[in-house]
Amino acid sequence: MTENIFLITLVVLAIVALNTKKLRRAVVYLGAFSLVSSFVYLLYGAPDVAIAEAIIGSTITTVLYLVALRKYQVFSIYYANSVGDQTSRYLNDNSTFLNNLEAFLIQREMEPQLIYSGAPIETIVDQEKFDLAIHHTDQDIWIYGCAEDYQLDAVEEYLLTNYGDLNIHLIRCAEGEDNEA
Amino acid sequence: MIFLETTLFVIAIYIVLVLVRVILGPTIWDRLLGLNAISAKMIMSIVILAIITNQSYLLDVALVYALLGFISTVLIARFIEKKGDIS
Repeated sequence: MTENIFLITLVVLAIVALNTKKLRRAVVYLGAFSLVSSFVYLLYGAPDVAIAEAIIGSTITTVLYLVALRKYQVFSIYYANSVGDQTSRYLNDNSTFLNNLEAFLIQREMEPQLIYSGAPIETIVDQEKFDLAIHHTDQDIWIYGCAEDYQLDAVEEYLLTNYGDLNIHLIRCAEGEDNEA
Repeated sequence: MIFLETTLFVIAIYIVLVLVRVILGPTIWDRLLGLNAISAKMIMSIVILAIITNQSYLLDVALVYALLGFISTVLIARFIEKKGDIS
Protein backbone atom coordinates (compact mmCIF):
# COMPACT_ATOMS: atom_id res chain seq x y z
CA MET A 1 0.00 0.00 0.00
CA THR A 2 2.72 2.45 1.03
CA GLU A 3 4.76 1.31 -1.94
CA ASN A 4 1.87 2.07 -4.28
CA ILE A 5 1.50 5.59 -2.88
CA PHE A 6 5.17 6.33 -3.57
CA LEU A 7 5.02 4.86 -7.07
CA ILE A 8 1.92 6.89 -7.99
CA THR A 9 3.62 10.01 -6.56
CA LEU A 10 6.58 9.30 -8.82
CA VAL A 11 4.42 9.07 -11.93
CA VAL A 12 2.48 12.23 -11.05
CA LEU A 13 5.72 14.19 -10.44
CA ALA A 14 7.20 13.01 -13.73
CA ILE A 15 4.13 14.06 -15.70
CA VAL A 16 3.95 17.44 -13.94
CA ALA A 17 7.65 18.11 -14.52
CA LEU A 18 7.20 17.46 -18.22
CA ASN A 19 4.06 19.54 -18.61
CA THR A 20 5.07 22.66 -16.68
CA LYS A 21 5.39 25.96 -18.52
CA LYS A 22 8.21 27.51 -16.49
CA LEU A 23 11.67 26.03 -16.24
CA ARG A 24 12.11 27.04 -12.59
CA ARG A 25 9.13 24.93 -11.63
CA ALA A 26 10.49 22.00 -13.57
CA VAL A 27 13.70 22.19 -11.50
CA VAL A 28 11.67 22.02 -8.27
CA TYR A 29 9.57 19.13 -9.54
CA LEU A 30 12.65 17.23 -10.65
CA GLY A 31 14.17 17.70 -7.18
CA ALA A 32 11.07 16.21 -5.58
CA PHE A 33 11.06 13.45 -8.22
CA SER A 34 14.61 12.41 -7.43
CA LEU A 35 13.85 12.43 -3.68
CA VAL A 36 10.88 10.10 -4.10
CA SER A 37 12.67 7.89 -6.62
CA SER A 38 15.61 7.33 -4.31
CA PHE A 39 13.20 6.25 -1.56
CA VAL A 40 11.65 3.81 -4.01
CA TYR A 41 15.15 2.42 -4.68
CA LEU A 42 15.44 1.87 -0.92
CA LEU A 43 12.08 0.11 -0.80
CA TYR A 44 13.26 -2.32 -3.46
CA GLY A 45 16.43 -2.99 -1.50
CA ALA A 46 19.09 -0.99 -3.34
CA PRO A 47 20.63 1.39 -0.79
CA ASP A 48 23.81 2.08 -2.80
CA VAL A 49 21.76 3.21 -5.79
CA ALA A 50 19.69 5.33 -3.42
CA ILE A 51 22.82 7.09 -2.11
CA ALA A 52 23.99 7.75 -5.67
CA GLU A 53 20.57 9.13 -6.59
CA ALA A 54 20.51 11.34 -3.49
CA ILE A 55 23.93 12.82 -4.26
CA ILE A 56 23.69 13.08 -8.05
CA GLY A 57 19.97 13.46 -8.62
CA SER A 58 18.92 15.89 -6.00
CA THR A 59 22.13 17.92 -5.53
CA ILE A 60 24.42 18.01 -8.54
CA THR A 61 21.62 17.93 -11.11
CA THR A 62 19.84 20.83 -9.41
CA VAL A 63 23.05 22.88 -9.38
CA LEU A 64 23.70 22.11 -13.04
CA TYR A 65 20.16 22.98 -14.10
CA LEU A 66 20.27 26.26 -12.19
CA VAL A 67 23.63 27.26 -13.70
CA ALA A 68 22.31 26.37 -17.16
CA LEU A 69 19.18 28.48 -16.54
CA ARG A 70 21.35 31.43 -15.52
CA LYS A 71 23.44 31.18 -18.67
CA TYR A 72 20.42 30.77 -20.92
CA GLN A 73 18.60 33.75 -19.43
CA VAL A 74 21.20 36.41 -20.17
CA PHE A 75 20.21 38.15 -23.38
CA SER A 76 22.73 40.73 -24.54
CA ILE A 77 21.59 43.64 -26.67
CA TYR A 78 24.23 45.78 -28.37
CA TYR A 79 23.20 49.30 -29.18
CA ALA A 80 25.49 50.91 -31.73
CA ASN A 81 25.63 54.59 -30.95
CA SER A 82 27.85 55.89 -33.69
CA VAL A 83 25.62 58.44 -35.39
CA GLY A 84 27.17 61.39 -33.58
CA ASP A 85 25.13 64.57 -33.19
CA GLN A 86 21.96 63.06 -34.51
CA THR A 87 21.71 60.67 -31.59
CA SER A 88 20.33 63.29 -29.23
CA ARG A 89 17.34 63.64 -31.50
CA TYR A 90 16.61 59.93 -31.57
CA LEU A 91 17.84 58.83 -28.18
CA ASN A 92 14.59 59.67 -26.42
CA ASP A 93 12.49 57.73 -28.87
CA ASN A 94 14.88 54.86 -28.87
CA SER A 95 15.20 54.66 -25.12
CA THR A 96 11.46 54.09 -24.70
CA PHE A 97 11.77 51.59 -27.53
CA LEU A 98 14.63 49.86 -25.74
CA ASN A 99 12.79 49.97 -22.40
CA ASN A 100 9.74 48.35 -23.93
CA LEU A 101 11.92 45.72 -25.57
CA GLU A 102 13.58 45.00 -22.23
CA ALA A 103 10.20 44.76 -20.47
CA PHE A 104 9.04 42.31 -23.13
CA LEU A 105 12.13 40.16 -22.63
CA ILE A 106 11.76 40.22 -18.84
CA GLN A 107 8.18 39.06 -19.32
CA ARG A 108 9.57 36.11 -21.28
CA GLU A 109 11.85 35.20 -18.33
CA MET A 110 15.00 36.55 -19.93
CA GLU A 111 17.53 38.89 -18.38
CA PRO A 112 18.25 41.61 -20.93
CA GLN A 113 21.68 43.16 -20.76
CA LEU A 114 21.99 46.41 -22.68
CA ILE A 115 25.42 47.40 -23.94
CA TYR A 116 25.95 50.82 -25.48
CA SER A 117 28.80 50.79 -27.93
CA GLY A 118 30.49 53.51 -29.93
CA ALA A 119 31.89 51.08 -32.43
CA PRO A 120 30.38 50.88 -35.93
CA ILE A 121 27.74 48.23 -36.41
CA GLU A 122 29.84 46.15 -38.79
CA THR A 123 32.53 45.61 -36.17
CA ILE A 124 29.95 44.59 -33.58
CA VAL A 125 28.26 42.13 -35.92
CA ASP A 126 31.58 40.67 -36.97
CA GLN A 127 33.39 40.48 -33.68
CA GLU A 128 31.08 40.51 -30.67
CA LYS A 129 28.82 37.80 -29.30
CA PHE A 130 25.35 39.26 -29.22
CA ASP A 131 21.73 38.21 -29.22
CA LEU A 132 20.47 41.43 -30.72
CA ALA A 133 22.41 44.32 -32.21
CA ILE A 134 20.49 47.53 -32.79
CA HIS A 135 21.56 50.33 -35.09
CA HIS A 136 19.57 53.22 -36.47
CA THR A 137 19.87 55.84 -39.14
CA ASP A 138 17.54 58.80 -39.68
CA GLN A 139 14.47 56.85 -40.66
CA ASP A 140 15.31 53.21 -40.25
CA ILE A 141 16.10 50.93 -37.36
CA TRP A 142 18.28 47.96 -38.18
CA ILE A 143 18.19 44.97 -35.86
CA TYR A 144 20.65 42.15 -36.28
CA GLY A 145 19.92 38.79 -34.72
CA CYS A 146 21.22 35.27 -34.82
CA ALA A 147 19.06 32.86 -36.75
CA GLU A 148 19.61 30.00 -34.31
CA ASP A 149 18.20 32.09 -31.46
CA TYR A 150 14.61 30.99 -31.05
CA GLN A 151 13.67 34.10 -29.07
CA LEU A 152 14.13 36.08 -32.26
CA ASP A 153 10.80 34.97 -33.71
CA ALA A 154 8.97 36.23 -30.62
CA VAL A 155 10.91 39.50 -30.74
CA GLU A 156 10.02 39.95 -34.42
CA GLU A 157 6.34 39.33 -33.74
CA TYR A 158 6.38 41.79 -30.83
CA LEU A 159 8.08 44.46 -32.93
CA LEU A 160 5.67 44.00 -35.83
CA THR A 161 2.59 44.28 -33.65
CA ASN A 162 3.77 47.19 -31.49
CA TYR A 163 6.12 49.15 -33.73
CA GLY A 164 4.71 48.49 -37.16
CA ASP A 165 4.82 52.18 -38.05
CA LEU A 166 8.59 52.49 -37.51
CA ASN A 167 10.84 51.33 -40.30
CA ILE A 168 12.35 48.29 -38.65
CA HIS A 169 14.55 45.94 -40.63
CA LEU A 170 15.31 42.65 -38.98
CA ILE A 171 18.38 40.94 -40.34
CA ARG A 172 19.16 37.36 -39.47
CA CYS A 173 22.76 36.35 -39.82
CA ALA A 174 23.46 32.66 -40.12
CA GLU A 175 27.08 31.55 -39.92
CA GLY A 176 28.55 34.86 -40.97
CA GLU A 177 26.27 35.35 -43.94
CA ASP A 178 23.68 38.11 -43.79
CA ASN A 179 20.32 36.91 -45.00
CA GLU A 180 17.66 39.52 -45.11
CA ALA A 181 14.39 38.22 -43.72
CA MET B 1 5.74 -3.96 13.65
CA ILE B 2 2.20 -2.95 12.68
CA PHE B 3 2.82 0.39 14.41
CA LEU B 4 5.90 1.11 12.31
CA GLU B 5 4.15 0.20 9.09
CA THR B 6 1.21 2.43 10.00
CA THR B 7 3.66 5.27 10.66
CA LEU B 8 5.25 4.77 7.26
CA PHE B 9 1.81 4.82 5.66
CA VAL B 10 0.85 8.03 7.45
CA ILE B 11 4.10 9.68 6.37
CA ALA B 12 3.33 8.63 2.80
CA ILE B 13 -0.07 10.35 3.13
CA TYR B 14 1.72 13.47 4.41
CA ILE B 15 4.02 13.43 1.41
CA VAL B 16 1.01 13.31 -0.90
CA LEU B 17 -0.58 16.25 0.94
CA VAL B 18 2.60 18.32 0.67
CA LEU B 19 2.83 17.33 -2.97
CA VAL B 20 -0.52 18.97 -3.61
CA ARG B 21 1.01 22.23 -2.37
CA VAL B 22 4.12 21.69 -4.51
CA ILE B 23 2.05 21.17 -7.64
CA LEU B 24 -0.69 23.75 -7.07
CA GLY B 25 1.27 26.34 -5.08
CA PRO B 26 0.70 29.81 -6.52
CA THR B 27 4.21 31.13 -5.88
CA ILE B 28 7.59 29.52 -6.19
CA TRP B 29 8.09 29.87 -2.43
CA ASP B 30 5.23 27.44 -1.76
CA ARG B 31 6.89 24.94 -4.06
CA LEU B 32 10.26 25.47 -2.40
CA LEU B 33 8.88 24.97 1.12
CA GLY B 34 7.01 21.92 -0.12
CA LEU B 35 10.24 20.50 -1.53
CA ASN B 36 11.93 21.07 1.82
CA ALA B 37 9.05 19.40 3.67
CA ILE B 38 9.14 16.42 1.30
CA SER B 39 12.86 16.08 1.95
CA ALA B 40 12.28 16.08 5.74
CA LYS B 41 9.50 13.49 5.44
CA MET B 42 11.78 11.37 3.26
CA ILE B 43 14.47 11.32 5.95
CA MET B 44 11.89 10.20 8.52
CA SER B 45 10.56 7.45 6.32
CA ILE B 46 14.06 6.20 5.52
CA VAL B 47 14.79 5.92 9.27
CA ILE B 48 11.54 4.06 9.85
CA LEU B 49 12.32 1.74 6.93
CA ALA B 50 15.70 1.05 8.53
CA ILE B 51 13.96 0.05 11.78
CA ILE B 52 11.41 -2.15 9.96
CA THR B 53 13.97 -4.03 7.87
CA ASN B 54 16.51 -4.01 10.74
CA GLN B 55 19.32 -2.91 8.42
CA SER B 56 21.54 -0.23 9.90
CA TYR B 57 23.19 0.79 6.62
CA LEU B 58 19.94 2.43 5.58
CA LEU B 59 20.73 5.02 8.24
CA ASP B 60 23.75 6.07 6.15
CA VAL B 61 21.41 6.93 3.32
CA ALA B 62 19.32 9.03 5.72
CA LEU B 63 22.52 10.76 6.86
CA VAL B 64 23.52 11.59 3.28
CA TYR B 65 20.04 12.96 2.74
CA ALA B 66 20.10 15.10 5.84
CA LEU B 67 23.50 16.52 4.86
CA LEU B 68 22.73 17.17 1.20
CA GLY B 69 19.00 17.80 1.20
CA PHE B 70 19.21 21.46 2.06
CA ILE B 71 21.62 22.31 -0.77
CA SER B 72 19.01 22.23 -3.52
CA THR B 73 16.61 24.39 -1.46
CA VAL B 74 19.31 26.95 -0.69
CA LEU B 75 20.50 27.06 -4.29
CA ILE B 76 17.03 27.52 -5.75
CA ALA B 77 16.38 30.33 -3.28
CA ARG B 78 19.73 31.93 -4.17
CA PHE B 79 18.93 31.58 -7.84
CA ILE B 80 15.62 33.42 -7.68
CA GLU B 81 16.85 36.33 -5.52
CA LYS B 82 13.69 38.38 -5.92
CA LYS B 83 10.79 39.25 -3.67
CA GLY B 84 7.06 38.84 -4.15
CA ASP B 85 4.69 36.60 -6.04
CA ILE B 86 6.90 34.81 -8.50
CA SER B 87 5.28 31.85 -10.07
